[in-house]
Amino acid sequence: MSKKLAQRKRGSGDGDGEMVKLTTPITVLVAAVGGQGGQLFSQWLFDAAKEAGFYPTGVGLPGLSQREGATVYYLEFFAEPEATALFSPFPEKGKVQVLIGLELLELLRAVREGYLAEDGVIIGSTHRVLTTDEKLPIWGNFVTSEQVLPILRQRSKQCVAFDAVQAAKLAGLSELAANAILFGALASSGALPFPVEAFRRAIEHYGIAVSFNLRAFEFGSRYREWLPQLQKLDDFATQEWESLPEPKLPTELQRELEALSIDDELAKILRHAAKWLCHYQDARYFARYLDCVRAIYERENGQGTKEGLLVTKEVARILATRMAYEDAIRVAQLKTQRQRFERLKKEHQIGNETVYRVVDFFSPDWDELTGLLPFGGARGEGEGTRNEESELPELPSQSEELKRASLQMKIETSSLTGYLLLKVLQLLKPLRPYSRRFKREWAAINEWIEAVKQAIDKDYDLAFLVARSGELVRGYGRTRRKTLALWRTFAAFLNALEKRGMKVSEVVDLGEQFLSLAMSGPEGAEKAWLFAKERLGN
Amino acid sequence: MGRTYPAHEIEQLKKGEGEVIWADGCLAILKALLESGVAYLGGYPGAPVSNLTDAFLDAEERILKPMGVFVANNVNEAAAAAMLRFSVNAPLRGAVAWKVVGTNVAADALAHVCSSGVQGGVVIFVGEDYAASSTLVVQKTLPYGYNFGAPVLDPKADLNHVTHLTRLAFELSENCHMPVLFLVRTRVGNMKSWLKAKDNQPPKFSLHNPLTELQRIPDRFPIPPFTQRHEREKWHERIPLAKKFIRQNGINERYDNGGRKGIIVHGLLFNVALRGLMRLGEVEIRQRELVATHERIENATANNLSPLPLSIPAPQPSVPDFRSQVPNPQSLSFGIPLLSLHALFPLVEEELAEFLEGKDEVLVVEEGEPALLEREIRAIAQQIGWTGRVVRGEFLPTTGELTTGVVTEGLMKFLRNSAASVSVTRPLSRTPLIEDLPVVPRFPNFCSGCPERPAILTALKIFHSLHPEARFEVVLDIGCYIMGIYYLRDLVPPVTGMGTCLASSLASSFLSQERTIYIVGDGTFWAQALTTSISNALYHKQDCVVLILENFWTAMTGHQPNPSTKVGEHAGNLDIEATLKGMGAKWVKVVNPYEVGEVVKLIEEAWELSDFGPRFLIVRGECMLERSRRERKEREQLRVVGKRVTEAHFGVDPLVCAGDHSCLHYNNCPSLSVRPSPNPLRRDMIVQAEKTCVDCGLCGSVAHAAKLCPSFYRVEQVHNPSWWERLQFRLRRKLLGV
Repeated sequence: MSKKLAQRKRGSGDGDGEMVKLTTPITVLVAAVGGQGGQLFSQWLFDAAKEAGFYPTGVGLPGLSQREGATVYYLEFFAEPEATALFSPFPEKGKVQVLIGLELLELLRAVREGYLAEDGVIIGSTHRVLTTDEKLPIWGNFVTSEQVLPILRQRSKQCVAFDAVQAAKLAGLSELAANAILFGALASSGALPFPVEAFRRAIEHYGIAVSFNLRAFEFGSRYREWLPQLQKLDDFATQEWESLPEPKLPTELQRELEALSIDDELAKILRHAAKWLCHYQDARYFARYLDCVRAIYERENGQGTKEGLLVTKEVARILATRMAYEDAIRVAQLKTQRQRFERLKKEHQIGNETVYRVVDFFSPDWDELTGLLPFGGARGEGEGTRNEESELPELPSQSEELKRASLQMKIETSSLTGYLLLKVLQLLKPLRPYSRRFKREWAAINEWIEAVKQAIDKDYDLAFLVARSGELVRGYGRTRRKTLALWRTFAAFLNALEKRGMKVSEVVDLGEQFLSLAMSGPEGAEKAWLFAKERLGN
Repeated sequence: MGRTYPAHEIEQLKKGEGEVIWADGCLAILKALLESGVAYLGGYPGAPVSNLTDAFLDAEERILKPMGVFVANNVNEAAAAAMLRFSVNAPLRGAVAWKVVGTNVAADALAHVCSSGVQGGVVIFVGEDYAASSTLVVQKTLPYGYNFGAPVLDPKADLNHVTHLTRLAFELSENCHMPVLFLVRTRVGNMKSWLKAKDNQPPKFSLHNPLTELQRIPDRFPIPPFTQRHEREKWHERIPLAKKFIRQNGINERYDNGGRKGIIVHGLLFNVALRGLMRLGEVEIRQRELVATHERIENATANNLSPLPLSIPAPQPSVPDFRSQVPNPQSLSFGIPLLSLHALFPLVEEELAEFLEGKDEVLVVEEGEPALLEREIRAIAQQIGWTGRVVRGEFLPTTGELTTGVVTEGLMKFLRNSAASVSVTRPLSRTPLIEDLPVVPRFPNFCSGCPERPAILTALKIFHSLHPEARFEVVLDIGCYIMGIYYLRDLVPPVTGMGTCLASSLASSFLSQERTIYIVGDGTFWAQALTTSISNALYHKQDCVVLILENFWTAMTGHQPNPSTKVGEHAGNLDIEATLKGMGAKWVKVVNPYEVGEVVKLIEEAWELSDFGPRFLIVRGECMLERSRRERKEREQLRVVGKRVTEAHFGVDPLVCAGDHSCLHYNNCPSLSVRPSPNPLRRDMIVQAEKTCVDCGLCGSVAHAAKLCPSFYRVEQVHNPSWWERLQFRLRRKLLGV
């Protein structure tokens, strides 16, 4: 321990050792996710207290650490060695003076438990380590920093919160630096009455990756300087999207686009769609898109609704992704484009001179391979064919799907042969509109568009629901077949309900439930299908 | 292995009289063991004492072997308990450690050792986990103490007290000739603080100086006619001796300034009640008596035991920024009489009688059921004709963890203090906003690159999807793989304890149409499953498929070596494949877990062979945590010296991912997360691979085996490439623009 520091600190007191005082310790709670390094962080904190002349005592509940469980460390810092006998092995509600969170949800959990004192301080990372339950829903459902930060600020006297993993990127360090960055922020925040030197020595003393962690620590201690920059940090994936070529539309088409850009939101969607579809196929294909959207717009506008063209916007957004269905040509295009390699290198911090190779994993099945050929019916097997007796089409059997033959390929896309193979595939792009897959996708798109149009005439809520249902269809191979069948189930479900004379509002209500079940996760399709079957009572 | 404690912490074990050590509870215990001249150590890892096993192993080469102390890495608790028989014959001290449920495994051997009685001191450190923070069932050790007649000690959350009590435990054991059960609660074993060292004592006989001859004492053999003699001895001689020792050495502490009400606590509930009473203004801390309680007790004799005011020193008023309230200076002591029990069995009647005398009402702050302290205290009260009230359930929950908040509330009610005078456990007012947020529970998960996940999660899910007609239950044993319960919920029957789970499905294999798929790791295989489950299944020709996850480490408790470990002096002494074949297993195959398609194929093959009895599939892949720690270091070293090294990660192309999340369903790797799509037309969350990816290859093989989307890629960087590679790369860059 640093005697000098302790003496310096002591010397600055009132020096009257005769006064009798009862002093409670400084209390600190560290909440983290197993594997994040909560243990190391607490160890540093423990040692920093020692360096600052305090007598720390603490307890860790590492539980099943390194396995993603919630972990908690509780520390008390006493002014005298014997006083450590006063240690409380449990944190007390409303008594924790400094709350540290290495992860946002765990930080929020500790706040919700009510541990933080009214004049407490929060030092936390807003980084999210998602739980399994949070990852599965297709549309996502998890706590974000936008939701939590106002609460943290309201509950504490001082709150220093930022995404420490992003901060590590800003510092040009690996993600492992997040803890030391947060430790640096804690040191310079003044939340604890320790000199910054004490924190620094703690890192040196424990001896784990000292120079790396000290670099991160110094960066963290200057958090006030760089916090504003953190917001503007580049997202490489978004950059890839943005660097896709801007569409060159013929003047006529450009005029049509502008004519349909009724408000800013729709204009934005149409511009994105133009970019995506021209990249996917060509301007002619986008013209076809625009025709579809216009038809919906006219229908919706004709109804005189004042809801801000919700249906048109949803159709416009979803139709662009439906039209750009992912076939082998599309995958080959996205896998070999220059923008991909640029993103990939930034993402994995690969220098310009570094030798690297990229291997892609493909497992196209017979349908996907032959889908490019110009023959075959408009509806494939397992895409929602219905037998005479039942009202609902069957979902394709997953065991049959998994038993289907597929070509399992590992292609080194960064090699000459791999790259050229995929490039050759792209030569087929002009033939795409003549392929069987095209026919089938468009059959499904037309069914959907038709259903939306009919619904607009019936009820606005219904139309909005049917418009959004277009997003049920997604994915590749067996997922595509399953979700096509699922959408047809959805349509058949609504029809069957209407046939039974159910009120439209009730139909919409059940349809919404179907949709949210379907989007609840990778097994959502099966759940939604069972729901529909149960509701129809057959 | 050799990593829980860094070298500088282990080095502290050499410190001597009066020196200060910073340690956690388990290292502190090891220090006290050395100070007590222990000759042999052992046990079986399990939270919260797995750190003690780690401490034994980490200190073995540097400290223990040079001192001549023998360290056993026993294959299970029964083996550890049986080893204690040495102290029946030899005047040597021994200690073992296991978790609370380990006593169940050890009980048979322990009952015999306890019947014989020991000459050398024996202390068993039991990881007491009443809160079940890392244990599957709630169980207390105290009833075992009654059962065996073995004293049970329970320290405070104060490392100086822990070491003090450890040293006393050996003397107690030798005094009453009984092994002593020493409770190590989670919040004691995992506690970090300081302690004052004493000098280490080398064992009387050691690895360097072994006993030349063992004493033979025929009447120690537990067989009639000696058995009944042992029983008489135990209850009429040994237990009274224990009581005498406990009283003489002031193991139980009494703080009594008079009063009509009293509180009885035990173990670390002393700290909990102390904090509660401080919050309630019932404790004041006196200046000038700067003697920690444990030191006072150590100096105390049986005659001057009471009253013993608590004298915890006040911190010096010298910290300018000390962020805490400083109440009025008064003389100090407990405002209410308190008896702190640290020997829970046997209770000393006289001590209780003295405490109860003159009081009307006594609150027993006891953790959980069965509340043997409360019952014993009632019995003693009746015996001595005390007419006051013993209370517990009215003020405190009788099951569940007694946290500082819970106890403070109970004490407040008991003292009928008004809550207004002190601020107790007052949760902050809650805004509705925080309640609306989905603060979902966080369950543990298999690590990135774990070799167990592909077998039990991915392969079984694919098998299940492929064969919806196949009817089976997945019987999970105890190990990391028990986390399969979170993912295979509908297929898993209840667990029945270490190594016994295949045996638990024997009757159902014959009386139901569901076949058993049994999952067991190598640690549990050797510890118990081999004898209890596997031999039982082979003998009955049980129709089952057994997946043995051989990852070379006892991973769940922190990577202790087991007989499958490939390094160390015992490596290769035992072999799972040869063992099974030697036992007569007809179908034994080995598979690489990361080749999921292959694993599924072999499960399908095994599934069909009903006539073979148990079919064994050894899924062999080293624990990724252990492997990547080692390999990362090796790779870094090679890279620095200019050798060719590759570094690879998996990734997901954000514009290719269609947000279907099937990969998460089949491969719930912590390195796979979700994020909004960069394509503003998409509302779905797309999958992304985090930097924590360790390149196990599973993503690729799942993409093939489960026919997933083509978003996954593997990118490999080559450090220090050969000139040929560099040339090729430059060419490719020029031609392809990659």
